[in-house]
Amino acid sequence: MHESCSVFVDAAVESGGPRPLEDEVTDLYLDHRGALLRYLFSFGLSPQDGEEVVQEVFLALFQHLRKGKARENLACGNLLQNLPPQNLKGWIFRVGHNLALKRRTQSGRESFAANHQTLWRNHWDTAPGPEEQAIDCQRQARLLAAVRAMPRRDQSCLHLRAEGLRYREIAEALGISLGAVALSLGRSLARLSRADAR
Amino acid sequence: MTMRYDPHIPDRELVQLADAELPAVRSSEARVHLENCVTCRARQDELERARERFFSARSEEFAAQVPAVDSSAALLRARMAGLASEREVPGFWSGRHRAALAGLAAILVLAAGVAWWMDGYRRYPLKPDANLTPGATLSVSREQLCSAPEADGLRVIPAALAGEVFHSYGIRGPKPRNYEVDYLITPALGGATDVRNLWPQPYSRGAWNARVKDALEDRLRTLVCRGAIDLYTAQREISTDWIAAYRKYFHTGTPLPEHARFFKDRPWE
Ligand SMILES: [Zn+2]
Repeated sequence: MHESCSVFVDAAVESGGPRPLEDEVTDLYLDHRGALLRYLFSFGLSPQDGEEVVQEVFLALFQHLRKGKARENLACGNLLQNLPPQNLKGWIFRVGHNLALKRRTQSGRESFAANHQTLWRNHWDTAPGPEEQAIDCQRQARLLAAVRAMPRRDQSCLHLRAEGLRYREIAEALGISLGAVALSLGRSLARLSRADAR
Repeated sequence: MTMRYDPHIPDRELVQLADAELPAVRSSEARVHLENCVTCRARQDELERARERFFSARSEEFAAQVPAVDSSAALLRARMAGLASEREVPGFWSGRHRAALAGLAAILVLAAGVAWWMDGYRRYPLKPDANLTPGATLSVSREQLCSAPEADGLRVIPAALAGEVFHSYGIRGPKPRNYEVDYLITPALGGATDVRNLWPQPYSRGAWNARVKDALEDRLRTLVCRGAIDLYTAQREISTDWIAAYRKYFHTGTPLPEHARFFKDRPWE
């Protein structure tokens, strides 16, 4: 259906040799930046801190791949295609997760929590409008509050799932088993449905 | 706690089923049970409603906070260039000094990074150039369009025409899987197969890619056929600024996860 209006250019072009690693990493950056930033915001990181962590993650990826490239001495071919995609995405989020935790410790938990609160709250304070909208906002605020009250791992599973990660990618990112991911999501959605029904 | 036999599907499995993450054997059992059990169907609805509400609350919350990508991507390019030019020197140039050097290099090549990024914008347009691709339509009515089946087969753009499109955008030897030649105004909304209505759209690059535009096209067609907006308005809005139109019709600043999700795994498959 979606394919009907477009055509791939695979066949139409001559290949210009392997792409520079910088281009590959930039493409990955452009594809994953938004999702990773939003995930970092869920730790209460400020937009500036989030942006900085994302940079660190992709620089680390660049270094990681460079070393791999040097070691394996791949003369041609696309290095990234040799990495299973779920590992790559899991890897990106795992490094981001660890850096976020580190940054949170550094910046001090209290100021951090305060930042988090305002970050989440200001939307609801400024939302004007009719009564239905207010009720809608209250419900949304309740759901977000319910998530913030969850253990960090459950929060992480929910946020990563919201960004479209598969269970195996979430497991990789958090260093837990597939079963633990399923258990966490089941438990969290049950909690959310209770908060939603209140 | 006393253990009791519960014939119903546990929450965890209902969620796994909705996520297509339940192992195949268990999945078909669960489906059969669901078909026959009102209780479990209601429970699954409850869980999915809660999920949808959380996801949408979350995306509203975060949408405004993601800063524009431009300068940050240029900075990353600059930093990578800095790292790439760095030699592996042990001793003095390790640790602190090396970090300082890398920082300096990053600043020095930032300008180059910005230049690259501007060039990138030319090579990877998010939106078509209005001069090259103003849009072109067939004269069809809403009734004709909406009575036609939605998926009318694979529409192959002739290679010569695709070549003409790349040429007009100054793209020589486009890299495989980087682009699709896309209609500015989709045929589902009366768009013509004409060089003025075709442009090289980055396939997976960034958030505003071909998948997201596809979602907008579906939405506009639905609205047109439902009579919520007229055909001309839909054609105008998608050809003027499709990203603005997406934001307007999906009430969001950034692509919704369910639309972004379409492309996420694709380039690897
Ligand atoms: Zn049941």
